[in-house]
Amino acid sequence: MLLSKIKKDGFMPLEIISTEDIIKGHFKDKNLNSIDLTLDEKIIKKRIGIDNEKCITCNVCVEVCPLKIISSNIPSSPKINHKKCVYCFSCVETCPVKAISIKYLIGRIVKNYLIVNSHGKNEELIYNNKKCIMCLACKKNCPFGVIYESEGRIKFDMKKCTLCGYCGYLCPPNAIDFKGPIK
Amino acid sequence: MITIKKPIKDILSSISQELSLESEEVYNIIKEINKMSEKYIHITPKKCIRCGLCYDECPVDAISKPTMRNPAEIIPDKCVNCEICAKTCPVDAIIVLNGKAFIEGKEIIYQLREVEVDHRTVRLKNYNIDLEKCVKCGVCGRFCPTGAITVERKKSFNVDLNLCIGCRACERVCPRKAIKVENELGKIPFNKEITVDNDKCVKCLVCISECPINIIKEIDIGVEIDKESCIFCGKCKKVCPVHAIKIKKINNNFKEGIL
Repeated sequence: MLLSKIKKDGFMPLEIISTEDIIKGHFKDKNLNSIDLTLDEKIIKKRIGIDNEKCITCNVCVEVCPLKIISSNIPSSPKINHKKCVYCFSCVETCPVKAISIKYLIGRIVKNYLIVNSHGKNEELIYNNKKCIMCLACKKNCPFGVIYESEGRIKFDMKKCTLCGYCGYLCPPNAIDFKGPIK
Repeated sequence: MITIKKPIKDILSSISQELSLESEEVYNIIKEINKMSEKYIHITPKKCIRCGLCYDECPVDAISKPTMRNPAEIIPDKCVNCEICAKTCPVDAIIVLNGKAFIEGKEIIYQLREVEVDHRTVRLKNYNIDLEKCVKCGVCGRFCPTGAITVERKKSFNVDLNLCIGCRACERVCPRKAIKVENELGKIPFNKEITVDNDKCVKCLVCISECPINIIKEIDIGVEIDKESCIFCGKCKKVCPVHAIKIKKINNNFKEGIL
């Protein structure tokens, strides 16, 4: 089952950790036949960096960043405000010398194993109306004006959306999620 | 979902010892028992932002007041599992768990799964900061769920009202009471309907004594429930000896507007 799931993804995971041992540690009673764990929750780690040696300080990334969090730092390579980055891949895609790299790791639990893969650019936005508290923080802060309110729920104009992921990062109850390819 | 399977042997032998019955006999009795199901509400301490909305909204005072040091906590003895806190929590820190236990062959199976609840609206109305009282300690910024507050220690305080959701966490944790936030809370989405069949009612009045918020009244033909105030905890339904009280789910996909 585990192997078939991995084969379906088509990529070998970076790491496989058994969750059964972790859970068993929380029980006094060691006489358990089996533990089966399935969770929707994902564990995500992201990192962005500019390779100073490759960078030609053209500052295209500074212009293209939707949140304007990359600042010019001539004569050195531009600076990225790591805290505010939403990992939209805009800068990575436009950099002419491929000096910017994003490490986007995703951990999922599949059949009692924590599987760590790397994740590509967001391809799909998933909105959970049940979790949404209608605080409108996403609508007020979307860099592209994609989000609007209608009939008591949040709506997304997917023609304008660039799937940058900023709303998902902001959303206090995590009602907005993004999905992308697993590599 | 977590599923745990345990061998039934141990439980059988302990029961049979206690009741001095043959374990075969005990097995025959307990295998007839239907699925047992129980609801739990849990606050994830790491996610709690100390906004205290759950504490304010709990109709039975079953939540301990969160402080800067301690997150809100459920008092299990008082909790009636009405889910209002989970529906109110703006950061999804309160989860509703459904636990099930049943027997399958020679194993007992325990299942624990999260129940998704409909959240109510929480929105900012008004924000006030008294900069003369503020000592720029930065505690508010630590708890702000959207990073709307930026504080430079002992120098400046800044709040981005576009990011603020009006949860009032900053107001609660401020040691100088320098922040005043007004918010708008939407109706609680129960999506349930309660009815009493007074033709069946035998006027035993157990429901009245069981109701945690005292909204059931005795009337000539039976009992009357104040449907507007009901929290749908289901206690009255459970104790009614003649099944006169019914709680039905109604489908309502849209969020109720702000009051």
